[in-house]
Amino acid sequence: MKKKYILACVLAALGMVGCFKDDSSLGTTNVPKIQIAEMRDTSIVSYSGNILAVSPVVETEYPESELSYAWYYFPSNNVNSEEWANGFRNNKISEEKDLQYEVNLPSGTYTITLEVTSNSNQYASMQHFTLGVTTEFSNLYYVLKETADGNAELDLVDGTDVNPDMVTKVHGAPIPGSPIGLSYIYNQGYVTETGSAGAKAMYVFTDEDTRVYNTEDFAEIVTRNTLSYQEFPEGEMPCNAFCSLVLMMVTNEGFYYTQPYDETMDYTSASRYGASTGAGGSRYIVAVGGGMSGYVYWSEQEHHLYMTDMNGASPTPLEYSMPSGVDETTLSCIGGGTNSISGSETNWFLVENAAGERWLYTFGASTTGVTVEPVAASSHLANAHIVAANGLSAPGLYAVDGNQLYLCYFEEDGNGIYDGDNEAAVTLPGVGSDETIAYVSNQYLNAEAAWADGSFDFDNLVIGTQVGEKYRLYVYGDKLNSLPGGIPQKAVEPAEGTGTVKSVRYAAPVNLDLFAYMASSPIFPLCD
Amino acid sequence: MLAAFAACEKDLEPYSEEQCRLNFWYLNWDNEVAMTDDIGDRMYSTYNQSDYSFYYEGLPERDTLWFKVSTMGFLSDQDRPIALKQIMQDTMENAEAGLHYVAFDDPDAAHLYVMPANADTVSIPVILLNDPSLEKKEVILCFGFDDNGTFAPGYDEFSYRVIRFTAEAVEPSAWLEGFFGTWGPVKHQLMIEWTGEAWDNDYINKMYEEDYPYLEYMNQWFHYKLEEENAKRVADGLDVYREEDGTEITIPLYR
Repeated sequence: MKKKYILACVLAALGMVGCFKDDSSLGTTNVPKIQIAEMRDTSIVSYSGNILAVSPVVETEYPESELSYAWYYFPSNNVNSEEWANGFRNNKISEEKDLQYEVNLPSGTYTITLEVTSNSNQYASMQHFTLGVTTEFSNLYYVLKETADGNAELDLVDGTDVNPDMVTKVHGAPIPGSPIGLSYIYNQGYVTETGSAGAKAMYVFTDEDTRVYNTEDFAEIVTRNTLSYQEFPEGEMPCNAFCSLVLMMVTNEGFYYTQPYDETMDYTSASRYGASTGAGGSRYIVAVGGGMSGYVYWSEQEHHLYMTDMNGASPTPLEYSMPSGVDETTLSCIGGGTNSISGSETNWFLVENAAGERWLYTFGASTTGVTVEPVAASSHLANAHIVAANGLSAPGLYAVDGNQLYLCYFEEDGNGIYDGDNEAAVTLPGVGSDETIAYVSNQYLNAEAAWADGSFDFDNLVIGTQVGEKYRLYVYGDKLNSLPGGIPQKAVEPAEGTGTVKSVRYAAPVNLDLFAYMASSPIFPLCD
Repeated sequence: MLAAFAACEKDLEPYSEEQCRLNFWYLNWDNEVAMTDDIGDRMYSTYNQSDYSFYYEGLPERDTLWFKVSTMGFLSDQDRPIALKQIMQDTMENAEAGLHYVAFDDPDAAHLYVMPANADTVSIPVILLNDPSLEKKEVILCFGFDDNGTFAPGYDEFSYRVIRFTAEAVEPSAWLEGFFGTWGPVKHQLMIEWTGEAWDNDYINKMYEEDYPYLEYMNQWFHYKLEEENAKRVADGLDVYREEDGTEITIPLYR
């Protein structure tokens, strides 16, 4: 029986043997290939007359006269349905072999594709590369500083290059009021002559005014008068803004939300805020679990932690117990942030009373389990005049005490006190002894963790020092993981300008759609 | 075995359907011409229903609604008549031709029901009449294409439309209960007086499309405005605002 099966299989196999020699005439036609050498990824500054020049290396047997060339660009994010309609061929930019293309594209990442086609038989070959597009006003740091006369100005800092006093240069005068801080919003809507448009926008908050600048062209797209459908009462100060599935803003007296701008979700409104729906806040806001578990802010109005969610639900007070004898209504917040190391998240707020006594609030990736510990008076954290979060590289926070930077590691001894027995001095290579540390911030972007373009991701420890009327800005670190242990590895050349640094934000030319806010780990810090 | 591998080379026949048909023309949510498959997924299930009230248009004696229709089949180099018929419903009082609307075969209107030569779309009117009886009731006009030998009805889903109309203040189908609370004629009139806007389907849909946050903001604004106005009334010894049936008017905060 078995032999019969084997015989049948052998016969079947023989039956499947094909002939390699036949009388066909079709197979004799040679179709030469077209080979395009790989092209390098590059980046360029848009709207500045810069030319993207590429000379591709094409190897083929076809004569040059038989070839046609087509170059296309295709945006990598925020692609609406019309742009998908014709696939990558939607935006043709050249039909020449050598590309000479003046780039006037919104910032973001694009795929540039070259298609070479034989006119004789339509055989075609393609090659592509990635183009990072920035603008003169993006892919650099915005430095909010206090001017000598107590108003606010913006310097744009790119490495050691400083483009100073941009608000005065472009809009005629500095922003009135003492600077409070910056917020960078990837999905801001604003009013245009024909309706509304979206922008990657920099909010500037002072104690008298609020301005929002488009980081494409530095246009002032929102002012205090156009932030809301209704006028803000005199004395109400917006102080921070952040985006999730809605765009949210806190003032000293209220909490506001509106719709962000995201064409992929058909959110195309002008992002004007309505009336307050909750307790006033402060600069100090954290995204818990990347925001998936909510957003918690210190309410300077209620002297308590409040939380909202990704949809901007009316903020509610967090439930936690204060140490015996501590009257929370007497406390003010002086720092806050999120730390996320290897999936372990610590959110913290540092508060103090009028006597200078301090308490550290901490909780994990959920809004329950807030613990409040007194900070031992002998610790650097108790005496620091600057505190700042470490985001992704060390399980602690930064504090400056006696002009020395320290890493204050979170304590796990469970004794109910932050006793400061785990604090370490951090050397800042290149900072001179004549300089006074005036600003510390760990700025980072982890867009890749939010399923977005990670090509601009970074992790920087930003130190602002003061020498007389001048500041120096040291930016340590580079890409993610370039600050091992939260410690600068090598000296850097500082940028120098006049005034005093109050807040910094990096205007990354990355398109983040609203799905990015579904990530469960920090994408960027919400406060300095 | 070999027969099974044989390929067919029969040419496709050219389109030869002589019967022309008519469909009402719609756009889906992506602003593309709607297909029947879009219903439910990319079109509201109420896509073919219209609500109208003379009340929100200033109580004119008559008003005209226009509906775009499109052809299936060959074009013609001559004008072609379009026939409409009323389809009686048993769910509501049916509109009466000549009393509530101008009959589709009225000699004065017949010339409007024509597909022009070489055209495949045209807008046709339905002329509604503001009979005094509509002050206290709503009627329904369901109408579709009648086979007149030139055109037959097209797809079932796209071959008829429904208009519910009245001269009363009625709830617009676009009314957003989450933002404005339960609809009521007194509340609606207050909203009109306070803002100068109609808050009818056209206005609500326009705001929804162009400036959704504004509707959320107006929820807050109406809520506090009502509180403020009620407080004034109470201070003046009056009752708070109520609908005619005595129900207190409220506009709860959306959040």
